[in-house]
Parts: sequence; structure tokens; C-alpha cells
Amino acid sequence: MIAALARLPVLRFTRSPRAWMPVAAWSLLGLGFAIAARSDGAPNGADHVLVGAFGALVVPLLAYAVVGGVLGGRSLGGSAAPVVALGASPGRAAGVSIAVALATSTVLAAALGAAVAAVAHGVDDPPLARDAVASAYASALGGCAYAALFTFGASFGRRGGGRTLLLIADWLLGSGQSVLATVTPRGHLRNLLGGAPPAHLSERASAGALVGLTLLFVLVALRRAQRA
Amino acid sequence: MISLDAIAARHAPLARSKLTLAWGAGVHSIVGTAADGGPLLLAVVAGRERVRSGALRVLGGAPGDASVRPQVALVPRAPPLPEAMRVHEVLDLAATLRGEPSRPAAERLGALGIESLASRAVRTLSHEEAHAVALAEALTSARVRVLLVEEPLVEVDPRAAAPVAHLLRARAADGCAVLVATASVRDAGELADDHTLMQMGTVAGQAASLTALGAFTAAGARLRILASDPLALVAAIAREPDVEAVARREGLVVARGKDATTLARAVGRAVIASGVDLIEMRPDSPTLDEARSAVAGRAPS
Repeated sequence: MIAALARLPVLRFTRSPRAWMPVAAWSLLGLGFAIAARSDGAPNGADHVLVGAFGALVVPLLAYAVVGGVLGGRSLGGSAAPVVALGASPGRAAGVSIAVALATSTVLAAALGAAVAAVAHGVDDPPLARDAVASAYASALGGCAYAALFTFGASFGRRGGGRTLLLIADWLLGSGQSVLATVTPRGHLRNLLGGAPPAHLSERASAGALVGLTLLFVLVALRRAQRA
Repeated sequence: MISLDAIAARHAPLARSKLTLAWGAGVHSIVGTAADGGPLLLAVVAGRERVRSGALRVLGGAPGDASVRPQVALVPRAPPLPEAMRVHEVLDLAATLRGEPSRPAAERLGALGIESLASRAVRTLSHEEAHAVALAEALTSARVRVLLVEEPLVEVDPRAAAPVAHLLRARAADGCAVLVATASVRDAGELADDHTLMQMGTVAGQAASLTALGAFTAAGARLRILASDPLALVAAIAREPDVEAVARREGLVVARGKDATTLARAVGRAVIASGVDLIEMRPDSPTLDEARSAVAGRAPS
């Protein structure tokens, strides 16, 4: 049953160029920044790219595009409507869509994080293997949290317009280092990638916060989907 | 099988309603426009719209129950088919979700004469084709016991329109409750065994036969007759005392009388007397407004 329900969001993402092309574009942008850093010969190029463009721009927009693709550009409830019409439970259908979005975003962000760390690696960066693994781990947590944030946002509005509002809110609130930044994935991801922490949190606390935010967003989105 | 006890929905036009209705096996129509609440009532019965108050039971449970949901099929005018799939994949997915064995898509679609759509991507289907595919899924599902269909003969692939009535009746004969929401009194008369007329979210009345209902309308019952010699038939019908009016309209003869049975007998006598060949004779359904007026003027039957 779960596999059957997962087919539709997976096919939405893989069969529609409108779904995967933005993801490919953001991925290429991330790699482009890494290549630029490498060609500049920056001594800590990986650190610079990961904290800068990758964490602040590529990961959120990658997750945003993944969620949009998996949900077919609709709201969370609307994306589940075709399978609900065929007898599926609204909550279960939405849950499977969320799981597909989270898994896709996590894997893509992790792979891209490792690739960016490897390509942009400079002489002052940590050892390559360790840096790639740490970047993959941080990017995976960030990609997952962002996907959860945007699926939660997609539970608002007829066409899931809430995810755009949350993208803007994340950018506005998460860019600083105040306590407000702790409620968005941006500040925590920046911390994990080696940037300034939100509210002086440790990296371990930020990792925990990302997991907590992911769980919170998913639970609220699921609850909203069941009640819709 | 379906029972509503003082049901009000969360949205207009059923927000202030207190609908108390019950339907068992058979084909039942809800006659009225979307503004009267027929399609919304179907969505309520399917569990897609939440009720504000009252009690709703479908197949002995709530429509959202895990055991009930796969047995209820709702086919709106614009069905939300999975747009990323092909038609045969949709039917396979539906079989899995409803908990029934998967059957060849061509076989299921063939029931409505649309087997050629099996390999088409859903996003390439026209509105009419998508409507037909959704009808085929619901009509050929072995698990579905409650079928809720909005305008089954409107905006549907022409190949599918002809067998729909037969298939709906066949499902009803198998013990399914089939609820058809339509704004066409004629379609309701052709498809259903009994009729609930809705007006602005309330039940205007119920009737066992819309043909009989014609007798209660101001215009009375009407028959449309196609014969080999319309002029001769008009002359013969005009001599019948039970016929109130007769006219030729676009090659057809239209006769009006107090009730359908007496009128049909009179037309039969006129056909014999004039010696014309009778090609077709069918009752002319009252309009929606005539039907509403008729049920408003008498107790629900």
C-alpha cells in the first residue's frame, strides 16, 4: 500500500521536466559556485561556498523545488486528492508524499553537499574525506528540515502558497544570529556548515534543533492533511 | 446503505440544511443544479466534505472509516486523476488502494468502449476522456458498493455515454447504491429509479417517477412521437378527446395530456386510426422548474 501510494509523488518528480529541471538548475548552480571557488584557488574554498551560497541559497531552493515537484505544484491536500479519490486515506497519502519529499531532498542535498565540498576544497579546508562526509551530514539534515518546512507550508493555501511565504520567512528570520533564527532551518544549517551559530548554539544543539524542527513541521502538516 | 440524519455541511448551499434522507441498493437521482447542492451532497456522502452537524452513515460506518472508504467511489464532473500516470497505471493503483485484484486495463476500459485510452498519459486526456476513465474505474471496480456520480452523461467521451446507463443499472442490480446528481430531469428519468429534487440546499420533494411527475406539472404529461407521416398522425391525434394539445416540432409530433398513461393510450389509438408507422414514442421529461413545482404541490411519494 505504501509503495503504491509513493508511486504518484515519485512519478510526478521523475516524469515531469517542470519538476526536476529546477532541481537540476539549483544543483548546477551549487556546483558552479564550487568550481568558481576552485578556479580562484581560494585556500578555504569549500568553507566559503558551503556557508555562503550553498547553505543560504542552494539547499533551501533545492528543497523548495523538490517539494513543489513531488506535490505537483499543489497544496499538500490537493496533491493527495487523486489517490484519496481512489480510496486512500488522506492522512496516509499526505504522509507518503511528505516522506518522498523528505527522502528526495535529504539525499540530493547530502550528495550535493559532499560534491561541493570536494570540488571547492582548498588547502586550508579540513581533510577532504572528512569535510565531504561532514558536509553531506549537515546538508542532509538541512535538506530534510527544509523539505519538512515547505511541506508544512504547502498545507496552506489552495495551491500550497504557504511554502513560498515560509521560504521568505526563513530568509528574513534565519539570516541573523538572534533567537528568532532558531525557529528556522537556515541558522542551524549555517552553524553546521561552519558559519555563525544562531543564539550561540553548539553544532550538536543545532543538529538536534533541525531534527526537532523536521518532526514538528511533519507532524503539523500531517495533522492538517488529516483534517482537510 | 446510505443514511443522512439532519445533515448540514460546512459550505453553502448545505450549510443551513438539515437533510434527512436514506438510500439503499438501486439507482437514485439527486436533481438540481450545483447551486442546489447535489454535487456537494455527493462529496459529503463520500466523506470529502466535512459535515457541520447531523449523523451520516455509509455502509454501516462513517465514510472516512478505513473499511468504508475503498468501497465508495465519487466521480465528479472534473475527476482528480493522478496526472503523472498513464491510464492503465491509474487503474492498477486504484485496484491496489481499493484492495481488489488487478485486472487488465483494456478489459475495464472496454466496458465503456474506451480501451484505446489505456496507454495514454493522464495529462494528455481531454476533460471528457478523463471523466470517462474515472467512470470506468468506479463502474468496473468489484469492491465499490456506493457509487456517487455527478452528471454521468454530461461532458463524457461519446463512446462511454451510451453504456453508462446500462452499467449503472447493472451495478445497482448487483446490490450497489448508485447516487446520481444531475441538473437534467431527462437524464435523471433515464438513469434512476427514484428522484430527490433539491432546491437551494433543501429537499424540494421526492418522487418515484419523473414521468409520472409530468402529470402534476402545469403543462401535464407530454409525449414525443416519431412516425412515418407526422401530418396524418397530428390530424388523428387532434380528434382524440384525451389529448389537450398536439403540435409538430422539428419532424416530431408532440402531444400533451393530463397524465402519461391516458395520453399514451390516446396516441396509440391515433396511430392505429391513421395507419402511420410508429418509429419511436417517448415521454418528454418536465423541466427542472416544472418538476420542482410539481413536487412542491404534493406530498413526497
